[in-house]
Amino acid sequence: MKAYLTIFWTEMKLIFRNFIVVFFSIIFPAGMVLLFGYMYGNDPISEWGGYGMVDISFGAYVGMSICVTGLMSLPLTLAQYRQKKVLKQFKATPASSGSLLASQVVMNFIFTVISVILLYLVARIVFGYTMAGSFCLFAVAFLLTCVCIFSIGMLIASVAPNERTATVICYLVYFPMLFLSGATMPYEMFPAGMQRFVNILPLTHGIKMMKGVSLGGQLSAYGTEIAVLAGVALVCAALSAVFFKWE
Amino acid sequence: MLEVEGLVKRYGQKTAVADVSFTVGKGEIFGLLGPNGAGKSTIIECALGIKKRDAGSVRVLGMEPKANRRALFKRVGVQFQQSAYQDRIRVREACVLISSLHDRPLPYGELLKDFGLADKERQMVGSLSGGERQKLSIILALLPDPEMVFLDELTTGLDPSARRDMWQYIQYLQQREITVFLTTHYMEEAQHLCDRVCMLDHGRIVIQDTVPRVIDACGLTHIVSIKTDVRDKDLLSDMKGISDIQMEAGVVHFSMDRDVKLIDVIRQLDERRVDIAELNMKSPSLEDAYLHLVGGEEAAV
Repeated sequence: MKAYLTIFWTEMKLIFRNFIVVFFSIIFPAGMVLLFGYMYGNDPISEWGGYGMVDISFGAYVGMSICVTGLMSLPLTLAQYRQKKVLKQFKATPASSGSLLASQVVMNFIFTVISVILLYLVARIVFGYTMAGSFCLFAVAFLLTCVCIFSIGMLIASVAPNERTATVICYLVYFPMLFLSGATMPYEMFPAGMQRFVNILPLTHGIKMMKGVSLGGQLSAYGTEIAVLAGVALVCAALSAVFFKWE
Repeated sequence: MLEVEGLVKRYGQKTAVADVSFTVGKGEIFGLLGPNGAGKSTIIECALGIKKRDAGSVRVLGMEPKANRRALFKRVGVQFQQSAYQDRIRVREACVLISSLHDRPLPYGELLKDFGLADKERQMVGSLSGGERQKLSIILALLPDPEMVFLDELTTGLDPSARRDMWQYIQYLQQREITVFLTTHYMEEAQHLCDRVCMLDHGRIVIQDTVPRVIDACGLTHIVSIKTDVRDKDLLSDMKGISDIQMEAGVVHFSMDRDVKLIDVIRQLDERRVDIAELNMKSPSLEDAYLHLVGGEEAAV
């Protein structure tokens, strides 16, 4: 147990030294809230069902945060650890070979939680945001989205032969998801044809669900989303278990 | 300590290691030598169960490495080729991390002091010099208080003085009764350090024995060089026990057969009234043996 905690704690310190991850995961979503919050305010707007800009976007910003850790930090770090033989060096210790992987997953998850809490505090303190829906249901929706996005990240880490390829794949997956899934622009603003296309992206479903639940929806209303997220998570997790290489 | 028997490893069609067998005894410094791509690292990885072998058997400290991974790495320290550190990790953090994986690690502070890295504790590993980083990797390999360490190309890429430092540390391991298995392609290093060596070429063992016996086995001659005024090659050509006479501006080189005594050569030179301003004799080194047995770098490619 001590070993796991030390690995975890060390990796946690390392992620906080990674400026890109800290910036895009913690500062960027909070910055988006501030930017759009100041531009549009959080006053109720009737076309949006009486919700304000921050109310409507909160779920999307959370999705943004998940993507940075799940699609950038996690796969890039693992690809780098493989290329730099850190994984191999770990295999030559009495630690279980999965302990470093597990701690990376848990650590990135906790980092995501921290960034969401900060995001919430900014929204709350600056714009008086309150979550209309239940915190618990939102947590479930958040968790499911994390599982799905992280398993995509694990798959990228498994198939990318080196750090450079991993970076390319991560950008190819990350940016379309970020721009098209409703994290930056509300999904509802897309034309119908575009909506059909962005429905392929798992993050779209995650954001739709988190947004709905944060606005007071019930999870049961999001059966399709849950099925898509769980399905993608299962497939990616299974594939990465098959393809994962230690070196 | 280590027994490898009939080890075979293939990568696709290519055979990287072909029927390699050797044993390493307790307290020995054993060197696995050969050009780049000869299969040295592959043998280490197969011996430790990190890579699957295609045939043969391996015993490390009496254990089958794959089946006893955890038990094995409590008693064996490993430094792989190339550095294996996370980005932005500090020296102390790397030590704490590896220490936490072991039940009774040695105190890393003392090891850092022993290796002259005590003042670098708070530095990023990435900012260490090549020699310091290699010292750190020995420290990490020593943390479990191992009975045996595997060092893969420890000194590759180091400058000559850093390399000499490493040699001292390896000898210090032997004083601590730690068995050392190392790979290198520097023959000078192997000759200086190793009790026994095993030379590889294209995944096959060329020879394995103690260093003096490997050199002996090649039947190489001593090279004698004398500084002299003699310009006439014929004056020396009938001397007994020497061959391959070469002359260049004031210096004569010749090979001296191994069963000939230097004093007899000097006596013969004196009889011929050859003045000797300076005399150098070079005994065959492990490097000469290596070049004789394996050939240059080109031969390996």
